[in-house]
Amino acid sequence: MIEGEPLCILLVEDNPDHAELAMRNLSDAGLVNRLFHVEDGEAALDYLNNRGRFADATAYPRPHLVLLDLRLPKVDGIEVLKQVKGSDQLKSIPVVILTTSAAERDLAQAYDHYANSYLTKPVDFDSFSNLLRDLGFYWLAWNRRPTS
Amino acid sequence: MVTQFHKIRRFALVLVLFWSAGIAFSFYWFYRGEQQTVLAIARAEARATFEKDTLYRRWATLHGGVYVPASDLSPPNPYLNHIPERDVTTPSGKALTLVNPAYMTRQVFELADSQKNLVRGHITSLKPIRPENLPDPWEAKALKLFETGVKEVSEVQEMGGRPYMRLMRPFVTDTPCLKCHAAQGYRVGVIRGGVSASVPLEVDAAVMGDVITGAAVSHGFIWLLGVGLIGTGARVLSRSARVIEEREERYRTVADYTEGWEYWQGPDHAFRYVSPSCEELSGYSREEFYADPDLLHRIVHPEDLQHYQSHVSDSFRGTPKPLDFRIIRKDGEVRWIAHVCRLVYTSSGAENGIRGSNRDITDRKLASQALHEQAELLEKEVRERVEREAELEAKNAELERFTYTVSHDLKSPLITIKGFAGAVLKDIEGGNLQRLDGDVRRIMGAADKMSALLGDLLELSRIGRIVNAPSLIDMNHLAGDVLGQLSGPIQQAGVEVVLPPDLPRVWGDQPRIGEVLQNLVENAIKYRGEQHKPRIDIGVREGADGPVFTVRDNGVGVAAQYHETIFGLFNQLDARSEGTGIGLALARRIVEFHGGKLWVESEGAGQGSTFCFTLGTRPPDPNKQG
Repeated sequence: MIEGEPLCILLVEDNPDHAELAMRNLSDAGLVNRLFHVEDGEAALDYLNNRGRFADATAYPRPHLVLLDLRLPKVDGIEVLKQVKGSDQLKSIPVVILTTSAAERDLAQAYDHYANSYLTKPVDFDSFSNLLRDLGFYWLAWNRRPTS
Repeated sequence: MVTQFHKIRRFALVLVLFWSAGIAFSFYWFYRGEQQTVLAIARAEARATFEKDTLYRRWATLHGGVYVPASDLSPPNPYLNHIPERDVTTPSGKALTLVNPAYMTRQVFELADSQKNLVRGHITSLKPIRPENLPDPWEAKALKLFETGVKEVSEVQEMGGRPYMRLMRPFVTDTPCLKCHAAQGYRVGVIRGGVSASVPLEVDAAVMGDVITGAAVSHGFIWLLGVGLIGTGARVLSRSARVIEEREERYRTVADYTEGWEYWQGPDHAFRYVSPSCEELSGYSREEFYADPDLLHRIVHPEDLQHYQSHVSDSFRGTPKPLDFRIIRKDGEVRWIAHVCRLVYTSSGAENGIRGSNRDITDRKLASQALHEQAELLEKEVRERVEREAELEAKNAELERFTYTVSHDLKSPLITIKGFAGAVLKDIEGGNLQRLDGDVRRIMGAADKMSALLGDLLELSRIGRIVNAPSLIDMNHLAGDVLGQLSGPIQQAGVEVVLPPDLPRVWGDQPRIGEVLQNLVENAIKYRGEQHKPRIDIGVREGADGPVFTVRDNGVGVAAQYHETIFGLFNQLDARSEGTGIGLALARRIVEFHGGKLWVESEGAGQGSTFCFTLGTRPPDPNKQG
């Protein structure tokens, strides 16, 4: 723990199995205090803007990291990214793309819209675990965030 | 060609001839008149002389002759021997001899003869007492005529090389005559002889000659004046005719040798001028146009006639615009004409009809038409190519999307399977068995999902070829079949399905259209939401492209921004819903392959939705690859 405040992650993932895997690996690494999971882009935007069922800012705090899948129902990942990075309030939140797609186009599009990192979900279990652990360490432990 | 100039010259010549003839005749008339006058004067003179002689003679006769001194001049008349007292002597001894009237007359005549220009007389008889008194041939002829009752004979005769007016009258025997002539056996009333008087014509002729000369000179002057006037007139006329001819030639050359068909139509629409080139263009000669002012109207192509007529009436109102129109030539060929015209005015400014020019632009028109057709053909080709390219691009994009989607969606369950398999192994190693059951179920679920995906992909790949021959589908029958197959899920969900009896028949691949209906009904059941009385209405309405089939539900509805997204491959609005998200994509592909459209109408979340589709009315082409 480098900083005293509770660390918070927003996981945007439509596949419940993948969400479960991610949450399990992140909690195994023991880095995360709070992890919120939403299943589509609309919900993600609602959460970030404290709208609708996420209106309570204390119950649904501003995340320190967003893990974002690209293929999402309703509003897709790139649109969420665009809105986050286009918003003065939200653009400082690191957004890491975590997706099955290894397509060049997705990669380019993500960086075009100021994604902070782009990760492809490895099929291999160990790799998946390592990736999520390292990801947690990097963004939540090593990386310095601006004081909000 | 007989020019105006030649005509005038010929006319002048004829005029001169007539003039000359007139003058000559007048002169001749005058000459004749003068001659007659001279003769009449001479005759009158002769007559007067005759009368005078007769008078003197009678005086002598009445006195029974006169006595004159006998001398050489008047010797005693030997032919009066029988007369008593032929010779007497005066008391003074002067010898006198009797001179009877004939003797006296003869002496007077001889006296006259000695003077050149006096009237000559001659007393004569066919039976003269004195042989010197024998008649000359002309007198003899006249004396014979007297015996037939002629009272006077006069004629111009040449005597001694000089012309004379000779006049002769008979002497009728009178009582005193018998004193001398009784011896000859004459009785009173018998023609005894005649006296001729000869008037020399030379003097009169000389006078007449002066008059004639004067007349000739004056006639000559008048003739010259006339000829001069005619000549001058002819020259003036021919000069102006030449000017007119030259001018006419200039205008005719300009007008007649035009390339185009030029004309001038009078205010009465009759042709005043048509250039000969009209024949080259129309096949009709200009004489035909002159004879028939409506000819041009009649040869205008029927399709262009209305334009032409309104153009003509515009032109005569003074607002002519250029016009291209077709004519049908005399030989039936169609020609394009570029026509321009304008109002013309007389020198005093009055409207004087229309001056028009027609040019043959058939070649240009045909070329431009060909060019136009070529351009259209090219344009069409380009358009088709662009369409094909767009189609190809769309297909490529679709393929790319498909590959992307497939790789993503197939990879997803793999990650789940391997991830949870790893977790299971780790849990077994660590002896932690409480999560095993759930993890294995996740693995199996992912495998099932993968299998379903592969099945759907196979299904999707089949669309694009017609598996079944197109037929006329009874939609009521087909919908009934589909609802029968879905009776299980319908009952389970408690959905009321309404099917009207009057759906139309359409062409199509029956099992495929069945799949579309099945997908839409399944979709409606799946997204019925929390509705207490879920209901599905199958129906039809008339659209612009034929019947629009509708499947309406009162379920969750679709927000406007997702009206297209829901038709994307493997797209699902709700991550938790069952199925792979291929149903609507599949249905849309089938409908589009039939030449129709599939779309959703919904007021938004919770408002229910209506899925609509049309089908082409024609049977789809089995050769077409989707």
